[in-house]
Amino acid sequence: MVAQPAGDLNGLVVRVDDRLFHGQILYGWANGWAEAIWLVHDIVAANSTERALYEEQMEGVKGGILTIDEALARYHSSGCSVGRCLLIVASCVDLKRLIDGGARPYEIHLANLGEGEGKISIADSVNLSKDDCNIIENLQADGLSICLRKLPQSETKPVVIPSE
Amino acid sequence: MVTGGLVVTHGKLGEVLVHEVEHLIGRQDSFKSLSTLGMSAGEITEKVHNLIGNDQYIVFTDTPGTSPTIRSYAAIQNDQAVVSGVNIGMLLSFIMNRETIDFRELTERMVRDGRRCVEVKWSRNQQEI
Repeated sequence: MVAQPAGDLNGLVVRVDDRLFHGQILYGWANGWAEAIWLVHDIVAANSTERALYEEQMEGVKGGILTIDEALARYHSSGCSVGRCLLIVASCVDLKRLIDGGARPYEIHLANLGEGEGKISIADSVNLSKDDCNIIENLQADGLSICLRKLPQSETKPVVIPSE
Repeated sequence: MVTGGLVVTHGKLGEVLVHEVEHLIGRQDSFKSLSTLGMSAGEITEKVHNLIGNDQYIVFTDTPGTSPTIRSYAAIQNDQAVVSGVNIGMLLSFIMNRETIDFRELTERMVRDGRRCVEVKWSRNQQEI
């Protein structure tokens, strides 16, 4: 069965996911929803081994690998009209850099963010440090739509940062 | 030295596969599993590398294009390979042959045996239609 595009989701989606390009992206987002998928990661973009690894995985998928600066340049040069585009960043810090650089996504999804010392779990597979929590709260206060959504067909859940 | 096997999967799938294979043919040396739950991409590669070192190893993963496969692929070196689509038939073939045939032939044989596990059987009524 071919995945059906989610009717309520149309525009630039930024996914915060430290798994980078992986199964949920390949079998979920690239399979009917996304017109383009960009992996935005300064280290992957600059490291020839990592870059080749992900270029191989993304073969046949429109899009590619960009630094954050390259992604912002592309976003602004297209007049911020990007269609159904998925942009993957690995961390809340990288998300903030994109937003500070002027990107205004239709939606921001927190997907896989691994466990770690001092991190709190706010949902299945989503673990945030104190700094991450501050970033998310500030972006929400600025009116950005941040939610939990694994796949285009999945229901969305609100991101609620627990009070200390 | 016997070729090692590491089953790297989403969640507990690898642990269960190793357990079931050992239930069938007994405890095995250099045969272990790793769940990628809660790990970032870089952490998976680091953990796989720590488990297989520079030894001759086959890393079994569940699905191509997913984190266990991509990040195990990033970890392997010479005399190591990643084989996706792991199932019990493939693992039994690996265990039964790893001491008697060379590395490349071993991978080819267990992939062939793993593919044999994928088949469709229609009910007799549907066959007649």
